Amino acid sequence: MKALLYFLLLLLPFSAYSASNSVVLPPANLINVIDDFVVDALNKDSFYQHLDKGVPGTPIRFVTYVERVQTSGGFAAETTSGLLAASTLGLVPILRNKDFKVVFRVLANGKIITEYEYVKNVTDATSLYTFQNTELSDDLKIWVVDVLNQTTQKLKRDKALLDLIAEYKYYYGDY
Amino acid sequence: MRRAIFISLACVLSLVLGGCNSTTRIQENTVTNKEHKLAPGITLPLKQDVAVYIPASFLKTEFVLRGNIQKPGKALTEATESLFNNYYSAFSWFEPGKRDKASLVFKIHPKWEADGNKIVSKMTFTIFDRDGNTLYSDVSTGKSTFNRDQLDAGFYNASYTSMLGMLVNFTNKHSEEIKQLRSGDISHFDLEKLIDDKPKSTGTGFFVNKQGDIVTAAHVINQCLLAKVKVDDKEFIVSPNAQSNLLDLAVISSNTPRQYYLNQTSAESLPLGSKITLVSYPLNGLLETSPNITFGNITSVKGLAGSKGIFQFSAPIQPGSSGGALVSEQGEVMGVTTSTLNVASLVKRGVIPQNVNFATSPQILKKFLKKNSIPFSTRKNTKLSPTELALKSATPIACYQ
Repeated sequence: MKALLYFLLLLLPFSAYSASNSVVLPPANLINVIDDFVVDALNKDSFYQHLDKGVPGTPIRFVTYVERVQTSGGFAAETTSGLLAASTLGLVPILRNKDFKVVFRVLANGKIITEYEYVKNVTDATSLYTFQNTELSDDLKIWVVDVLNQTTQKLKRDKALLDLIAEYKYYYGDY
Repeated sequence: MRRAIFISLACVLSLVLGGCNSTTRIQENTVTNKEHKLAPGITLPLKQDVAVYIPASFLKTEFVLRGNIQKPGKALTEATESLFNNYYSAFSWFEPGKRDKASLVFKIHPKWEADGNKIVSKMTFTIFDRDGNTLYSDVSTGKSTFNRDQLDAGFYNASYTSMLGMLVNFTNKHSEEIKQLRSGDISHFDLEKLIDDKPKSTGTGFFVNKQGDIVTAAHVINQCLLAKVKVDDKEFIVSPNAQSNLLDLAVISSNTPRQYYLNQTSAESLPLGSKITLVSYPLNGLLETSPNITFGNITSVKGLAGSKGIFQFSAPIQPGSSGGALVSEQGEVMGVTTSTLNVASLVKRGVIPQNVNFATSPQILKKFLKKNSIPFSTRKNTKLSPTELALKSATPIACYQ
């Protein structure tokens, strides 16, 4: 009897792991305002297998976007180095410091069900001639994919989302 | 070389003109400013429990500007939490019915405007004791510069400054009175004291049983502090009984027995092309409150790509029609009005849609009612004509904040 109990206890973490691993987001409309590499990352995880850009009628939406927030120190550095860069015709780079924020949201008929937000303080040096370029650096892309993977794991255990998935299955069946 | 000089000059100009108004959030522990100083002898935080009510629509405001999502609601929420935690020993957001203690209840109604290169926050305040007696009311204004692409700090600072002005004035004028106030349960605080005179939005609902339960669309009541229905010229306060954001459906209880209500259909599928009647109360404030009847057909058993349990119908709808029942020629509910196509965005693409409106299917509605144990009937219970029954079963819903 004791041996059976130990065996069952041993199985528990595996069953919990497989339970969270079998969670799949219901059909949802993807609104990605970051970049295509995010779509590539989403496609690699079966959790997002029913995510689609072309289904505006789905009640569920998965939204990704970024924000760049100016920091007070970053403003001072940008202004000073910007003036210096201009006076040297671009020989000296411009230093920028911003809080880079990435947000992942799940909504049901416009109401936020759950949301995950990550902030990274970014300092970079850019040329005077590419100053307006807003494309993400390779480092930032790696970081975004990393926090997306973290979010996926959190979503699989997110109570509000699990309730929504249960409700979805109750009304519309399995997907 | 010339190009390099030109770019350099352009960058200098953009940095000087664009960058110089860089705004960051006010420091967290700020409790006074040049214009507003606390009277000598007042020490913060004041030993009071306070609850703050700001309409949900303001706390959740978001919009997109130049490709960036702007969140004035979040800035307002965080400015309020930061400032009130500096001023009082305990702060909480007011939630109706929640068991909470407070000695002061603040009602704050914000309004934002753009004035040149500044965001102006104009806030109307009313402060009550825990029994709902008005202690103080004021209008306070705060201004802030803002960053071109990121308005967060501008909204935060303007909100913070206007609330700070109000708190300084209130504290200076009533510091002795505040000390006498005792904290107590505010779960029964009179919500009528917190709402505006005019409803924030309106919608339609319909009775589904003799107990007086009303079905409507969830978005009609989502952000209300208080919802009211009007039946036979009498106004009732209603409380949410069941709600699903996934389906955009809700049931509210009038707790008033009802002679006339709509039956659910026993059909398992939607009869394409069948005639439907919609009774609703649209454009409240513009039109007199009176039922509005439109007629149409079930034009498709499917909705937008990817939708579930939604179908199309052709009876015209207007803002305020949401939640209205589509009634068949047999007097049964054939659907609940939920939405229409976004005409403005389609016009930009050169398409002008006509009579494409959406409703939740009766099968989903019945499942929803069953799940939430809301009684309903599929048997005809009156000799009234379908149109008369639809009229007698419909009710306007006003959402107050």
